Amino acid sequence: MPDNLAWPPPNVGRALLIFGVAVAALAVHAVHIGGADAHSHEMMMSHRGAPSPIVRDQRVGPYLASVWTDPEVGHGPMYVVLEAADGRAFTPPSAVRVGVAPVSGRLPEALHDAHAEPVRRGGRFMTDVMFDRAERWNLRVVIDGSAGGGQLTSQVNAVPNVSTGPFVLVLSLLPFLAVGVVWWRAAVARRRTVAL
Amino acid sequence: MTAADSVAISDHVIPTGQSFSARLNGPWHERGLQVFMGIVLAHWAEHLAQAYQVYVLHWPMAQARGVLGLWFPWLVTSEAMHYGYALIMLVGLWILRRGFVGSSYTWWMVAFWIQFWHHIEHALLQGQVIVGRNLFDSPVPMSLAQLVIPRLELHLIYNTIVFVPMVIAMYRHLIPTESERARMGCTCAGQPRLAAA
Repeated sequence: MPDNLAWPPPNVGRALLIFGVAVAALAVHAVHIGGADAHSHEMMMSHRGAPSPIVRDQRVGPYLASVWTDPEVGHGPMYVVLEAADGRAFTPPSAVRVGVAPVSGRLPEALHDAHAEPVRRGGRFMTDVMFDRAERWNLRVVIDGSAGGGQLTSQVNAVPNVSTGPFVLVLSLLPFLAVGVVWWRAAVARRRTVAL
Repeated sequence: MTAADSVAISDHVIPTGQSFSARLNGPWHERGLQVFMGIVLAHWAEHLAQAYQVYVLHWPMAQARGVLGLWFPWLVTSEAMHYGYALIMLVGLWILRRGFVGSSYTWWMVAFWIQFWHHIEHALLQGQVIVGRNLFDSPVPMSLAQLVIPRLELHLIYNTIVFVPMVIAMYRHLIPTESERARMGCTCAGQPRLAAA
């Protein structure tokens, strides 16, 4: 046995196997509890860039509202997170709508209905919004329901994402280049070795 | 390599009664690494196809699903492909490690431990879904690396930082020093002395 096999010790392999099986089981469980679509969407978004809060705990009627998004140019999710204000019981609103319009006024406001997502506390509503240019946008969230409602307004800067294009393309090409170089160098070295 | 060479090498590296793991890290190591690298490059090819669809063809992100995702959209719209690939990487890096010696082994294990951390991040994501509460009050499950790199490219960067030490390990393994070559039990770097033996 080569001396490099002295570490890691054999029980590490067993521990890793148990860990892997446990995580795989959790993965299967996670996809099947409470609606696979919602959860898979949530997890997919974690691979697409994290949203950040634009508005935090702003009072809107009986709710404390937070708004989260990843404000890159293009289509992207917008989340409205609601909690009951003043320690009262949470009553879900009947409708949450999100409106976006460029501050410049070059486009009319686009109003989107947000749909409820499964959460264990308070409420979370999601909709896709479109920022077609990197500029400052007005944001309006309208909440209606039997417990009351209201609206909040804010602004958000849509940021360009064009710079990531060449980066992603080059990054995705590099592995093929690297493997090609290694394969070629190894072939040359092997030919020399065999020739000895 | 001639058939005679293959016989000579096989005679040398397959003692009777070898376990599957020993064969995988001995006579089957070269083929095993080729298959493993094929899977890795196939995954990269999917990312390349997706990047091409988004940034060259200007398809909407939701429709840019690479190649497999065009026929099997659930692969992309769920965690299945990401997580499945992370698991395959972890298992592959672990079961093929014993074929490496010297510095190539060190680099291979660097790739393994980074991938292990990547796996923990996946576990964190799964855990948040199961518990029903996300880290940092985020509306979506968050991984720790997203605090530093809160971007779409995080997945690519993770795969890159695993891939780089992997390629260095492969390079060192395919072009070993003489002392490392003497300790290798596989055919990855060629074994002229075995053929002559």
